[in-house]
Amino acid sequence: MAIQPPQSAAASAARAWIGFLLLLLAQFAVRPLISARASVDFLVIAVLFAAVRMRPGLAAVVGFGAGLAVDALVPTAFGAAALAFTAVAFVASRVKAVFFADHVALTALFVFVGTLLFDALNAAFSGGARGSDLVVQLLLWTPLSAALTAAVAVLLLTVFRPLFRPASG
Amino acid sequence: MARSVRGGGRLDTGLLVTCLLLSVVCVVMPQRFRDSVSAALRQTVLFPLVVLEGKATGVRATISARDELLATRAQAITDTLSLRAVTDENTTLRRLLGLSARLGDGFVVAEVLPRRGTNEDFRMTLSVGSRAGVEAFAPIVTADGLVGMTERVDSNTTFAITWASPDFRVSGMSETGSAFGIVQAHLGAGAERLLLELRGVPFREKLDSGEVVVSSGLGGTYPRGIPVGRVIGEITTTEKWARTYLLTPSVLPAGIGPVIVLRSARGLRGVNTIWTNVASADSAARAIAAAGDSVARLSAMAELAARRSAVDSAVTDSLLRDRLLSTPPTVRSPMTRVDSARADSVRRARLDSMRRQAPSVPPRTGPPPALELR
Repeated sequence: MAIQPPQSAAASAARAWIGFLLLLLAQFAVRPLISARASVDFLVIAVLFAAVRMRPGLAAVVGFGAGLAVDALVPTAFGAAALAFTAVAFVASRVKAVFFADHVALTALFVFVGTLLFDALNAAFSGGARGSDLVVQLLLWTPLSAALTAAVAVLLLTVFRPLFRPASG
Repeated sequence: MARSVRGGGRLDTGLLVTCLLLSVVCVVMPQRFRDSVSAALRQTVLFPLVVLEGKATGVRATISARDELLATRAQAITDTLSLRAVTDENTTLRRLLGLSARLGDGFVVAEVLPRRGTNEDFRMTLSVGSRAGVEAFAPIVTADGLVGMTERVDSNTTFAITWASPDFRVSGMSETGSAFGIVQAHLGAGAERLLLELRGVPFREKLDSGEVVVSSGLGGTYPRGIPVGRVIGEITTTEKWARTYLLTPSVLPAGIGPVIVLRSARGLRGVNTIWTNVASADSAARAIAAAGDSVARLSAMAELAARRSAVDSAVTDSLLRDRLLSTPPTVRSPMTRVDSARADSVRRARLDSMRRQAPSVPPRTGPPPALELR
């Protein structure tokens, strides 16, 4: 039985930040290429994967920063993404012991629920869509986006496991 | 341990509350502050991401534009092909119109119906039948030449064979009439199957490459002068006493669109000059247009009538003069120029004597009297 060498906390944190930066770049470099109504939200994956490695307070700060970056690019709803990301990151960090077990299906469910929560909060606070548009957004496009994001998250976790899997022990 | 956990929990809660408060402040702050804050972020911290997103969007726009370009190019090609098809059809119809004008009457225009079976390579079905005047064993032609022959005629449909049929035969000759033979399908393989051959040409007659072969009129089915093909070259056969030539058909299978079925009466009157004397079908089309113009037709008729009356009056005057003089019309040859002075004097003397004997004829002012020319 192979015994994994113990990882230092600094190396693990460095890998986590590299993974976060790569996902941040993917959000702004890859997502526009595959832009559609239901698209992958790489920033949600980055925030969720970072949040499970941090304390809830620090996760909230990271979520706030990521949300502020999104808001700065969409000034009409300035603050909405920051609010949603703060809440999602804090909750994700709180429930990491429950959801982020070493199980693919649970990870997918974690990302799916996180994306749903973020989209719902973002839609509620941004005030862009109203009435039937909001219903269609929340009942159709948000679940589709969440499912797509969860699938990509599982794929990334499988392919780039050292970057996104928290250090055991 | 419990104190540190509680302290960490307070810190987490404090950070959460702070972030939430800042977020709420961002949401509720006035628009101009929002704009200034977001602009400052875009121009400093987020500048690399903004540039990255802009380039990614540009790449996507390029891909979309390329898709649109390809779609536009494909549409342009499709339009060009359809335009070419329409142009070709227009040309064919114009040429057929010209042929119709040259034939005048005694023919039936027909459309070739789509093929209904796989064994109709050398046969075709026409959209007209006996009700339109189509007869069995009548030649089918286009503006380019001979297409085939009708076989069976129903009331509304005609079944015909083309020149490519193994049963097809037509007596052919060179355009100059120097060599005769029988034209039939060249039963070769592949693309050569769509060629013709002129068999049985006397050995002493030699045809050059490119020479046009027309129907000779022998046999009665095909009138003389319909182009059948053009000589490619001589081929060797077992018949040592005669020559056989390979021909390119005048009407290619792809060019068979609307066709003309000649009626027997029109064939008997001859079509010898229909394909050979008129240089272009466009002139025929112009002739049709001119004939359709009633004013032009009336003026042409009036001019013709005037010419006829002038000719008639001239003939009448000469006949009248000859009758009055009772002398046969003299034809003066150049060789009689020496005696012309004497002849004129004699005629003058005779005229004088007639004037003395016969009553004088008053000068004619009205229309010329009707005279029967014999």
